[in-house]
Amino acid sequence: MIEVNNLSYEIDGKQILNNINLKINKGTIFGIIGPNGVGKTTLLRCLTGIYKPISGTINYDGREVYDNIEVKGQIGYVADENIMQTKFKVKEVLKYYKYTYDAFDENKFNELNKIFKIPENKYIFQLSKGMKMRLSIMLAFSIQAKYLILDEPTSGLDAILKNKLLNIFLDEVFENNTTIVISSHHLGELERICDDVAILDEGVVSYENSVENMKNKIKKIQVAFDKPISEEDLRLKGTFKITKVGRVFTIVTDEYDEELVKSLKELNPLFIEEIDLSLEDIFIYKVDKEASHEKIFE
Amino acid sequence: MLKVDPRSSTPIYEQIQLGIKELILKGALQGGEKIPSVREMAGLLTINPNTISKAYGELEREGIIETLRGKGTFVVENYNREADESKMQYISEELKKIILEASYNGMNKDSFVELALKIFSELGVDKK
Repeated sequence: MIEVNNLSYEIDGKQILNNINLKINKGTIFGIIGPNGVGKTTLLRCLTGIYKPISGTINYDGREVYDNIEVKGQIGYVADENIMQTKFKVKEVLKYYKYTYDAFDENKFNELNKIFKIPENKYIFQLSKGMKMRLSIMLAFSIQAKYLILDEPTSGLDAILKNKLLNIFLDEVFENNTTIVISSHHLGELERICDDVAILDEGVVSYENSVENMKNKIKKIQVAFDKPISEEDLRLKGTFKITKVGRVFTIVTDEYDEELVKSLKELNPLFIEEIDLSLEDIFIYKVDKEASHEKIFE
Repeated sequence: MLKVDPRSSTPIYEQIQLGIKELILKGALQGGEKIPSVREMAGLLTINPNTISKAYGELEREGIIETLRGKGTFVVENYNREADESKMQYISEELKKIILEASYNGMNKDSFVELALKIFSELGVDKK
């Protein structure tokens, strides 16, 4: 289990992360989403022990990660940009990994390379963006990591490779009970593979839940009345957004249950309709508070 | 085949659970037949294996599938179609909600029954 307690981090006196608390269970996939520049990469770099927190702790099964070779040896990290020495050849990077990580499994690397096809005789600078990302992923998976920290691992990959990669992640969790922390802007794919998701906004975790609970609790409801109803009447528990177009109100709530539906029905609506919300919609509602994208004709 | 829409508000495990039941009712999956393992299903659908496990767990609890150690997961032979009492109560409550909803939407009794019959024949459960 990875436990983050009251983590804060600053860069040049600017607060990047503010009092973050997370619990990531063993053998699960934890997704971190958030707008650009809110601190996702910084959070992941703290998790890998690259950055030393200003305050707070990050523990892997009770062991602090910063400056702890033993813990770091069990973490596979895929950075959002290339961090390999570009004047090395692929096979030299491989050698470097073999010397650095005791558990490095060359067979696994070769197996993965059958899918990802990176020529070992090329220099890193000769590789395309997607190839560097693939290499970085293969290396992270070959050290038999117990934890994988992946910073936008699917960016720069085509749809076919992306799908293969997602299946490799799922296999890894199933086979080895590996814990994966992944950040991505592709919310559709996180929705399929993640157990839990946290939304990071302006350096704080603004929402965290399992994908399943999120779906059960956060709902968008459209309701119309033939008599005048004020927004105040509809401000039921958990409602964080109400818009009105003509007679139709659109309510977004994060505490949906039967009681809420009952209170709505007591107002004698013309109709009540529940509208599917994807993780992407939830994200937009939770983060983009001002903007109004409501449409009644969808 | 089983379809999963991650964008839907129905949790994915529930979609899988319902999907398998539907395949059994339609006869695409039959008693004693093997279904994909958790891992295979996760790969086929690109869905978190923990989610698949949960769906399988629910189906097992309902006595629809069974896992034989070392052999795999199978559709139960002669799956007992006689619903137990608690299930009947649950169905009656759910149906009440749906009928209420239908009336709210201006549906009358005849068109509701007609719709129900249509769904029965779509699912292929009206033959016996």
